[in-house]
Amino acid sequence: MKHLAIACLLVFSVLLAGCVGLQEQTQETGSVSGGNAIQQGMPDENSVLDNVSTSFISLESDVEIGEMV
Amino acid sequence: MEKSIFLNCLVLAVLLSAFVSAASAQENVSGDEVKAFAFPLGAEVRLLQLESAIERDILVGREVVAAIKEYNSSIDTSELESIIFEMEVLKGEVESINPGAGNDSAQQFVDLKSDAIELSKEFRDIVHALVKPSELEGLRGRIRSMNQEQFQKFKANVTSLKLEFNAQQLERLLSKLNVTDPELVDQVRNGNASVKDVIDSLRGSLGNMSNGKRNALLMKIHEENSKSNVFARSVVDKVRLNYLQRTNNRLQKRLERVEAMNITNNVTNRIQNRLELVGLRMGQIENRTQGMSGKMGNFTGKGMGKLQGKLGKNSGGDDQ
Repeated sequence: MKHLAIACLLVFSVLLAGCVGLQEQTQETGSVSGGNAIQQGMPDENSVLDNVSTSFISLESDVEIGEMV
Repeated sequence: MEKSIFLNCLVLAVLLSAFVSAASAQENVSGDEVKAFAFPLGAEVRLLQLESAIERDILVGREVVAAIKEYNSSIDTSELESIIFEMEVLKGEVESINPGAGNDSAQQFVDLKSDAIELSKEFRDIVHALVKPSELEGLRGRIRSMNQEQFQKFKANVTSLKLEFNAQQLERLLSKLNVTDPELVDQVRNGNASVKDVIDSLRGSLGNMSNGKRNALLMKIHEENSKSNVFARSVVDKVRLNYLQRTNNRLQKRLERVEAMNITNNVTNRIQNRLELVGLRMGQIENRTQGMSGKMGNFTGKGMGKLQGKLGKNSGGDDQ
């Protein structure tokens, strides 16, 4: 009976620690993604310009269908 | 007799492998390649590029057949000739695509490009089985030195269309930003400024602006990029939908077209074989789907049965 009570106490404390950890993690990731969202508001110049280049057709570009030999 | 059995087995193996690779080709649709289809001129460029690539492979294919006959006149090249013939039919199909139909044109482009990839792979595999490895290098040299005047004409047309398209794209982008730079647009149109030069010029202009104006322009360019990416995504999604059904319809129409030509080569057999493979694959998928829905039905049926049993017991208890 005593052993059972100790085992229950152990399981309960592990569960409690897990819940506290999970809550902390949620708060942390929440704040990180919030930060990203603010940064995402302003696009990066290099990635914008890289992306805009794909709306042109490079003179070297070709439609490749493979060689016959 | 033995030779024809070998050739038949080879063709079947090639067809099977080409069919598998065609499915993966369909998976590899490049979003960047289809972005141009948002504009009729861009679509025209991509379609002409595909036509040009097919034309080149047709010319090379004819040269290869001539070379193989010269090496050994007893080698049966009928299969290779029928692939070249189908490529000619395919080129006609590319020509008939309407460039102004947005993502529909893009979908047709991707489908016909997949067919072209499949045909060139089939041709290559058969050549590799017919020609000794030592002769292949000689064949490649012969292709490099062949007169490609007809093909060069295509290339020149493609290049001038690309330049016009890029100039129009730049004008469109600058007008969104309320900026004018006719000199740069002309340079692009005349081929004196590359895409890289355009990007460098944009970067330079942005660098000379105040932070506020620079950020506002970046946001506008970003918006335009997003629209273009959404269009490309819609094409990729459209291409993945009903791929086998579309292949089936396309091959059926091609078969009808070829049959109407009263051709003596075995191109009709080749298309029929592919149609059978597509039908087989469609049947497999249908069976799998039916099997899954059957299992789901059993599962939900059992679940519902248990639930009804429980409810019955409960209601029985209540009744009592």
